[in-house]
Amino acid sequence: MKRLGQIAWGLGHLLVVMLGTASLVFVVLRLSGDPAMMVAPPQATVEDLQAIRRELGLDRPMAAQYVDFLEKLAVGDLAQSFRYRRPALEVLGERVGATVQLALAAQLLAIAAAIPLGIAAALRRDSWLDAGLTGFVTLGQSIPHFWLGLMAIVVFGVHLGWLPTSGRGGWANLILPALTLSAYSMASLTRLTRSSILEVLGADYIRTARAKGLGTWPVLFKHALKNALIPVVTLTGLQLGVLLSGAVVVETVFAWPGIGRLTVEAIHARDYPLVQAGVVFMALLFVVVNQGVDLCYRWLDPRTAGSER
Amino acid sequence: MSPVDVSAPASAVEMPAPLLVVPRWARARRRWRVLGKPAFGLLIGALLGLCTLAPGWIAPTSPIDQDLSTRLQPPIWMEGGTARHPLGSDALGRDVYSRVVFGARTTFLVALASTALGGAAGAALGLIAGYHGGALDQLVRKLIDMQLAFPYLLLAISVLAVAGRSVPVLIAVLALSSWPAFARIVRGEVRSLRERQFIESARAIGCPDRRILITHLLPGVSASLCVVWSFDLARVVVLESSLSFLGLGVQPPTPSWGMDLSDSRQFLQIAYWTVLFPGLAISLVVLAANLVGDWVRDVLDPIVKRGRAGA
Repeated sequence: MKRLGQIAWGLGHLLVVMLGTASLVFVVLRLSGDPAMMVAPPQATVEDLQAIRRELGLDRPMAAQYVDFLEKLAVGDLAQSFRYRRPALEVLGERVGATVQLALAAQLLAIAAAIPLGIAAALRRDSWLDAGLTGFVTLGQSIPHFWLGLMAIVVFGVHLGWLPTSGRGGWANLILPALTLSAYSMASLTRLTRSSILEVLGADYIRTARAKGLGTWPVLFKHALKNALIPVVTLTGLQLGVLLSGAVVVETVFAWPGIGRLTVEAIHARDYPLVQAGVVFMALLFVVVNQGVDLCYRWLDPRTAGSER
Repeated sequence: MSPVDVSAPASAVEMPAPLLVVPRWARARRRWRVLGKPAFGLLIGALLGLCTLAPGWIAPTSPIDQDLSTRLQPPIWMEGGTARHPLGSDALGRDVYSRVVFGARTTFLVALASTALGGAAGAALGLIAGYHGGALDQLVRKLIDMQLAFPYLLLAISVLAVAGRSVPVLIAVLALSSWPAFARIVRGEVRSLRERQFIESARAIGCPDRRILITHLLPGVSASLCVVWSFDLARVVVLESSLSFLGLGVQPPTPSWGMDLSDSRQFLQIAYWTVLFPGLAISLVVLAANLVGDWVRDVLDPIVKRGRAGA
């Protein structure tokens, strides 16, 4: 019963966030200029413009447009893209795979590197390794995605010629964008893993495990890791926002055909329905993953199961 | 007993060997933590200040003068480089060094203004919400949670795409991204501070709420505000240059690091210096702000921890 209640609460939260995001996007986009001017050919007359407005539903009161927008959103009908002359959702759907592939690859890379590195830094605290890793972490958190990507293109694409630098194709195309996108997450996760392991290793139950004669590795894997990784799991989920924001930039740098680049292109083309669909879609993706992480978190740490944060 | 007797054995006492031998490099690391971080931050900060106040002093060439006869010239240390363009020139023949120096002003002023605005708003909301509690507090908490979790760049992109590119809009958008971090930390600390006796006493003698908030609570949270502010400055610099990079930052011809990167991207293959130096400048500023944040946090650790424990 309790679990059901939690799931219901999570779904309610999800709906509220979705509604808030969608409303915000709607307001922001409608506060701007006249979308009809953007679709109309340059020689269009006033009558033409009015016809276009009627066709797009822009001549109706704002409140009616809003209700209409929400109704359509509820059934997944996100209007027609001005530029592609097709439903916005359809255009997005074709590009989602690319973004998901990039984001997943980046996150997996980050986790695969960060957890061992963080553990190593914690076990060899105040060693050369620890100092070096801390330096890398600080750098990784300070260098912006787009510059890192551009420099990677210069070094690995232009000078060394090892890897392709734009577009989507085989695995080789994925390496540079994924590495670039993973840098920030990798740095934060390494730092968090290190401090989290250090904290857990100082706990009483670890001293007990040590005292009964367990070696370093059994203590680490049987006792320390599960507890130490709880904050890491949480951060992994929260980082999806960083990852999606980063994906917009990284996709632009590497000409990766994902929804981030599509949305940026749509902005420059003033393709409002597509921008709207893109932002709402990414927000939905984000909220869903975050709720998933929240459930994982409750499973990992039963102490939080009962309490509302 | 003469005084000589007292001093003699004291000087004869052998110093015990130190229990913990600290390796030399560990001491060097400690020095870096205590002195190096603020020094580095100060150096970059001073450079930024100089570039903002008097860019003409350190970069005599105009950042916007175009000269198509000297486009894409390499930096001085490469073959074909000249002293006229020490860091090379871009696709329009503009001096890269001057663009970097003059671009500092844009970045610095926009980041300062937006973090100040967002910080003030966030701190005010955090103070009020933390002090009064209740429904307002719940609302502020929900807003903070929602915004901290949202991919903000997307929202910023849609706002700027619609409202148009201008410095005030840019500052507003960035400030809107700043407030939650400030509000969260201030709220947490105020919630623990308000239970303390000095606040209770102030209330008992009839001190008005506004005075309690400003003269009694605000100083108590100022240390953490410093930490949040330096990290937020770093975040805002990245966000601003990302927006400029996507073509949504300040308008040309105002020099801006992010915009330079985006303009020069297509020449990456033949003229990497047009991209290298503006990006290096961004990274150095962000690094400096992060290091100063680290340093202040280390110095204030007990204070910050106490605040968190009460949150």
